[in-house]
Amino acid sequence: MFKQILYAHWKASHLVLLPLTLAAFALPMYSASHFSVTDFDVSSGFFPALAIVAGFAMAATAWQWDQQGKQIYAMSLPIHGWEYALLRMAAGSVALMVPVAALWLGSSASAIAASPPAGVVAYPHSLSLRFLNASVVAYAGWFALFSGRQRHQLIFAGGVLAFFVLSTLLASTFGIVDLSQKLLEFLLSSPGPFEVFTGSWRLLDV
Amino acid sequence: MFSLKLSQFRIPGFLLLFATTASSQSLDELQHRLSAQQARLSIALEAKQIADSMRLENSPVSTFKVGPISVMSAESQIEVVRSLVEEVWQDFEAVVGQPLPTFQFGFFFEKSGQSGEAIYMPPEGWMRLRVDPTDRNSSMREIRNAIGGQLTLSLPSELREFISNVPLPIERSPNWRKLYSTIVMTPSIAARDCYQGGNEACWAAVGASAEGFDWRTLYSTTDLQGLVRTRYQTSMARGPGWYGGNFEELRAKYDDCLNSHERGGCISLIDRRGRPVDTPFGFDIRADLFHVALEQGGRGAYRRALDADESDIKTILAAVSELDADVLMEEWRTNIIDERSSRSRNPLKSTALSGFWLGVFGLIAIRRGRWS
Repeated sequence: MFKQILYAHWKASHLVLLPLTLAAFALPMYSASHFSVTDFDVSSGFFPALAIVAGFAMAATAWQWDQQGKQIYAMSLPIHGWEYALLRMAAGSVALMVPVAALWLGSSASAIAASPPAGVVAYPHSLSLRFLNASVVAYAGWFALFSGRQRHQLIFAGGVLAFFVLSTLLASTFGIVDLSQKLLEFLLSSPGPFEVFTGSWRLLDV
Repeated sequence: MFSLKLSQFRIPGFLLLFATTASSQSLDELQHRLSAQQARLSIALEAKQIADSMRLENSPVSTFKVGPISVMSAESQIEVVRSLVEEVWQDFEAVVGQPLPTFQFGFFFEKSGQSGEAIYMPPEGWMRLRVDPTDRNSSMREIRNAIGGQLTLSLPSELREFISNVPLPIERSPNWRKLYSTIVMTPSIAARDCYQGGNEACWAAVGASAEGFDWRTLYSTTDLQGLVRTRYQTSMARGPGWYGGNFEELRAKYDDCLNSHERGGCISLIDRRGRPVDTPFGFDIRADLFHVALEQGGRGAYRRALDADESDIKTILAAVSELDADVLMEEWRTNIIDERSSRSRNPLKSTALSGFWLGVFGLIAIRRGRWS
């Protein structure tokens, strides 16, 4: 069963996977060649962005055909709904390994080719593991969002937007604690889910 | 209570002082003293306003001393204020030791019991501190900075300039990553040699070499090209319309520096810019080196820094730390390099956390799926 679902996911996502894989392979090279002596490195911001895009693409393609087919295929299978969702999620995770592997290859090659100054170290494996973690978390987050009905997705997105606008307005008008800032702090710092996107993403680093 | 303190700044006394000293002082000295007295007067008036505003809130004002610090506070919050200042001062006293110079500064806490401001009066000028007695941590941070700033201001001028007036911390808490990055990535011969273990190169990089500071000797040709590129990039991009008549000549020199590997051309371009080249290691490194010297020197170290009458920073820091200058430098450098190595990336925690959130999102996807 998993093999068929994986094949179906591959059919749905291979066209998106190709540019993602190429970008994942090339990005470490770009980062190494733009290694800067300053503390701010623009290229390292591309890694988490790529992880988010890759996660989004895999999650969106995981549910694409089911949405087009009005879930008939899913419901015709002799398995429970939760089993089907789990298989779908696992298939997307496996497909996600393609850009992750490309990034590992690209960063390993860049690390070998680079000649950093003394005291600066290349981190190809650490960077690849970080990219794997980030893309898997992004994928799981998007997958959970897309697993609901479209109406629920819209309600969720609208709710989040309204929460941020309201809490910012209330904080600026009445001088109370900005809850949206608190929420962002939680999400982006340990043990929040998106902490993995922050911190150093440099291939060459001290 | 406050009016007694203010009486020394009253105008008649002020003019008397002016008149009695006029015969024996030059005009410049008198002007200098006059402006100093004016500054003190304005500080006192400002403080009086704060004290008056506290009185308007029907809250009597009290003054008390904590170590060398005079504190003025509304009586309604005197216990909070006292405990805040005492706690901070105890920490400082343990570090700087005794005897200390007399510090004449006070804290004026506004709006009793509420988030407000304190006026901090160093010997010259005044500053406002955000103080919220209900937020103990931020209040202590502000008071710590004010006292640390005052302790720095009391240091000899050479030392103050060396650390760019960074407030004295209670304990050294450096940004290891930043310090290590600076040592490793500063584009200078001195910085690279320092990282490789050259103590004299480290002293040169902080501008305290025995030979004096000459930036021309601290940068390779490639480093000089980097300096030129940084300093002229904007002018070159904006072109002759912005720069003026001799742009073409400048452009030729700029290209020559970047392409021909001629040191002289690059140095003359840097000189022409007028802006002096700073030491390769900036104030954060220099301040950290001073803090290590204090740490090594123990309780009497700050007193020795106050008493330093040498103009040579290297000798002053050696005296403060009671170590040989090169031993001090070695201690500082190995400390930073070792600390940084022990804090290098460890993705295992992040991986475990990602696994957890993968599980959470997976559960949400299964539970909230269309078929649940």
